[in-house]
Amino acid sequence: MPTLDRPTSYKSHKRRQIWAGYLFILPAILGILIFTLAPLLYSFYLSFTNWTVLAPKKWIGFENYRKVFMEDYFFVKSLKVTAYYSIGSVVAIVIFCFTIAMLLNSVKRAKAFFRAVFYLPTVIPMLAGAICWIWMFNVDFGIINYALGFLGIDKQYWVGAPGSVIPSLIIIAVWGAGNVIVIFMAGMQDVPRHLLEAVEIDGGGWWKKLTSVTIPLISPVIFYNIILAFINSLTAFTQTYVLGRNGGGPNDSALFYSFLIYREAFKYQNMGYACALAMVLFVIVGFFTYLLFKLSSTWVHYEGGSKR
Amino acid sequence: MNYRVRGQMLTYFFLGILAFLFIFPIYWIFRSSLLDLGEIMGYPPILFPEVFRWENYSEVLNRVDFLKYIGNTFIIIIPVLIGVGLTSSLAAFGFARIDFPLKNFWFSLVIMTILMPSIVTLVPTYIGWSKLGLTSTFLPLIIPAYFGGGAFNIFLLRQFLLTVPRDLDESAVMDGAGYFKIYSQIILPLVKPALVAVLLFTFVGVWNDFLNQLVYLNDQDMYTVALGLSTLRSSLTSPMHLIMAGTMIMIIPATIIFLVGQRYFTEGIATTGIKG
Repeated sequence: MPTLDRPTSYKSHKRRQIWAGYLFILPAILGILIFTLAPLLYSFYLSFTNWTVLAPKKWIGFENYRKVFMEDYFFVKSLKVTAYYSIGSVVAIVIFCFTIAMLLNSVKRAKAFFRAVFYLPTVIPMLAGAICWIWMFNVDFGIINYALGFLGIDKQYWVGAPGSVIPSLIIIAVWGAGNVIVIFMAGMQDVPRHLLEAVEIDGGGWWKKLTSVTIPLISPVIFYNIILAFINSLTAFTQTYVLGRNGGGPNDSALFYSFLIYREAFKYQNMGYACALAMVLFVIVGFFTYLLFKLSSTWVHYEGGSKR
Repeated sequence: MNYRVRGQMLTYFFLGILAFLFIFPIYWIFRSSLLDLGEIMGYPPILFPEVFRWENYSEVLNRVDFLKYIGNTFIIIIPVLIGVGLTSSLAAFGFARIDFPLKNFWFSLVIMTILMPSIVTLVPTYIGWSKLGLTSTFLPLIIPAYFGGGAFNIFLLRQFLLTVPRDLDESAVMDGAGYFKIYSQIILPLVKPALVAVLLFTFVGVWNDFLNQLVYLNDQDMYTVALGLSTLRSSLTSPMHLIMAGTMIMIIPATIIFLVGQRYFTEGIATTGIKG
């Protein structure tokens, strides 16, 4: 190939590369624009209107937001319910799945079998799982109260009482979080054996190994799972839909924010108001995600220096 | 040594109990689907049915048109699988293999959409579809699959592609092969295990989806399995043993898919969590 041609051919190659790159990612970018950014902007606009599908749309300024913050009893209620469920399920899922992953990585045989068993509930449709669990939680006929009877524990109301409905739903969430176990297991397999052995030689026990080697080394994986469980907890909907004919559980004690938005939009046709609720959720989620990322720099260690 | 063995035994014992508890709800649905109404409402609960009442299944199939709902669900699933497989692998190829300006910016934008709870965009998206007159069709559940196929899938495929040596496609570039040719003839065959994982996740995802189907499909003729089961549950005339048979019908396909592709599931999930 003549050397003189090089600059131009290199240039056209470069240009071809840019075109190709953008063509390949084009559907994905359009997807973000059409199905994430545009709805966000549209939602922002609609949140300032009183659109109810039937009546014509009218600009009402901050009226929806005023109602959300000043008048809507359900807003405060569902925010509390959602926060309770989110924090509870994130903590329970991360601790439980971490422990199971540790145990699974320490056994020699049947590892794949157990992994499959713990993962299986994840592929069970949430609707089916929720129906089954609510049946098992039944106060009078439920197997759980029956089994607890043998241990001398009194009948619990589980999903039937405002005080225990969220913890019961957290149990269902932990049951369906097998993917978190698998992610933890993969992360733990990357922990170099010689580091663990070094602790052993120094006379450190399992606690020392856990806190000074395993947890710091897989902190990015822990962080990833926290974020994942957090976002998942906010989209929980089916559980509370199944809980009763109107959804929301006894006394609206399981009125998730997602259910509130659904109810306003599709039961009451208050589209503008539902958009205002969605925007508030967007800001709250954005804030907490930012906070989690900010805090993560203090305890999450990425290999090869600081990567955010 | 003895201490070690005892530790292992204890671990197995503990894992065994937990594994039992994880499987138990599934057994319980199965058991409940084979009882009659009197037995299911009895106390103490029957742990193992004496008579297997398989007729519950034919009764529930008579009462609810589950076969049609399964068909409807597949009308959604098949085009979704094609769309997700195609566009997520295209995007993953672009992000993993081609250098172009602002690549990292676009990629982080894709990743950021994972952090967006879908409920935030549900209402405006619904309004958009209704303006196009496409609510009460399957299209709102299908078309989004053709626009990237989900950030999670792009991420998974890209992670996988990063582990595949670049020599192959680079030498093909030198030979003057077009990018599309490299994608379709070199990369796609290589990325197959990850692609299978993505397609399995997608299948289960659509099969398990409830909220979107609830919002968009209002016509009973278009109901999916999930909606069929939900209506069965909310109608007063459907006793618990039939609901359980219906639940079982909904669980079986996802479970079979999982058992067949178990390796892809766990390995696919595992690759996404590392060095997020």
